[in-house]
Amino acid sequence: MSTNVVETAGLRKVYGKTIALDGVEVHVGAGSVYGLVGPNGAGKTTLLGILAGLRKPTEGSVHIGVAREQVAVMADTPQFEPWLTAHEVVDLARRLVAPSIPPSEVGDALGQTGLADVAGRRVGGFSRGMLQRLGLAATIVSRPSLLLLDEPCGALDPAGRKDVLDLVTRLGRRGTMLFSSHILSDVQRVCDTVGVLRGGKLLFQGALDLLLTDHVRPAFLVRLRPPLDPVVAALRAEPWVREAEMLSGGEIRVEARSVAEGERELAGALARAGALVMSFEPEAADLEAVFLEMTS
Amino acid sequence: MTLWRMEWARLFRTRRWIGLLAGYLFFGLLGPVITRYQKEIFKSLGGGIKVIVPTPIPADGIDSYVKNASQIGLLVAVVIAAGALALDSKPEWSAFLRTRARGVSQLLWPRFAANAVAASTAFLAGALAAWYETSLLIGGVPAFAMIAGILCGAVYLAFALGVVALVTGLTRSAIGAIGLSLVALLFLPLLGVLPALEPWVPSKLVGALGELVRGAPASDYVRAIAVSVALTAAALSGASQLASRREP
Repeated sequence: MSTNVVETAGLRKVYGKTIALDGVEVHVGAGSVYGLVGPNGAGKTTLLGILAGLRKPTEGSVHIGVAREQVAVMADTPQFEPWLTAHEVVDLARRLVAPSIPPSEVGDALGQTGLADVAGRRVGGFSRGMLQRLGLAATIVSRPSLLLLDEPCGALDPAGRKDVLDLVTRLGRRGTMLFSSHILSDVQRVCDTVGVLRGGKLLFQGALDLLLTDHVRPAFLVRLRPPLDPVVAALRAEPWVREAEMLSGGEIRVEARSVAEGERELAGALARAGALVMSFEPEAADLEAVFLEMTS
Repeated sequence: MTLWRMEWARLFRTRRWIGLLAGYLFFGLLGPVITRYQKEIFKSLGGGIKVIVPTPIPADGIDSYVKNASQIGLLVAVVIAAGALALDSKPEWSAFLRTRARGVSQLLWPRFAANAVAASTAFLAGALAAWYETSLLIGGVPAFAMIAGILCGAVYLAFALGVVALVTGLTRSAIGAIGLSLVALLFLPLLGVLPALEPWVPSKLVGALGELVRGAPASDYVRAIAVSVALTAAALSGASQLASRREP
């Protein structure tokens, strides 16, 4: 039996002549934090809208493995009636989804999202960041087991993003989460699984570590004491070296023809060049570089 | 906070109720006064033209209120209701509610009911003001006719807001809903031109208050009331289905 909480099969969504989603097969495992990344117009919001039940697919099927009231959705730019207070918005969400949850949870949700001090204020005067926090409070108040978050940090300043990501990390331990983001460092920080969407197609789906490992470049960062120029020249003369360049801070970046060759040859080549080596390590792949490579 | 309380909050916190009540009360207070003193008003205008004005009777005072209330009052009620009933005019808020409510009906009903009650209450307040002033300035008005007439007016208002709800199932914008609803409410009375349909059309209820005070039998309006109630229920059901099919 599948342990996936979200499963789509051949999901296709067409708006007129525009194909928003084309044969998307998303699998979100129970308890995972799934990051959906993609450039603007990739289909992320459309996909989340279909999973939330707000949009109907043109073709394909969606399977959500939890009860509908256990699914909570947060739009990328939450908007509320300006004459409601923050407390009323979150309480409305509680009453609609989980009336059995005690009203005291409303205060807790506002507290967790940093809005306890403005609980009694009408939301008409809230900034975009505060509205995003309020959207998150209204999402978590019902204690959902599946969270669908569309760009939850999009409008937040760095401190706000840190708070929300910490919260997302905590929530991720309690249930399953799928969140879209164009801030790749956020995805890399909190997600264990990633899906890369471009032009309505899912280019990659799987463990984040696997994505990074698969796309790791055969490059090494070497930190040396001066002089660096003769070492760079000697490395460039090596047949297995594709590129050697000097970076700031006494570092050299060496790109080999393959990871194996680099690992086998680099130490010897540095010794032959008389390099005063302080440290060397493989260049870590980051999601941003992988993403740009995949979507360009 | 519940969806019902939210609708009352919408009416009171945005002060929409003031516009609604003021519209009906204004004509309820002014109509009988103008009717009672129209001879003096025409005389004060001068110009040497002799205007013969019949001595007003109580029904004229009530009629004056009904004519104004059925136009300006209805317009205000439609505008206010469209603002609430246009579920998808704010897509993000609509998504918030749609992903949490059991269905569109759960969202639509409180909006319709709160606005229908508010509009009917405002109509009642205006009618009571007109009743009081007419009794004071012109003469007594039969209580049963007034009560039956107010009921007819309230049923028509509910029907009108049902039309607004149905139209919001066809268009997302509140302004579009106002325009289309007013067109529909202006053209529906044309059906009453056909003698066979005249006793059945909801618009027969618009002038019922004045006609009942003039002595028309209440039984004349039973068919229009029944049709209005049935059409209101059908309009709400249609609105719910149309909005359910639409992606916010």
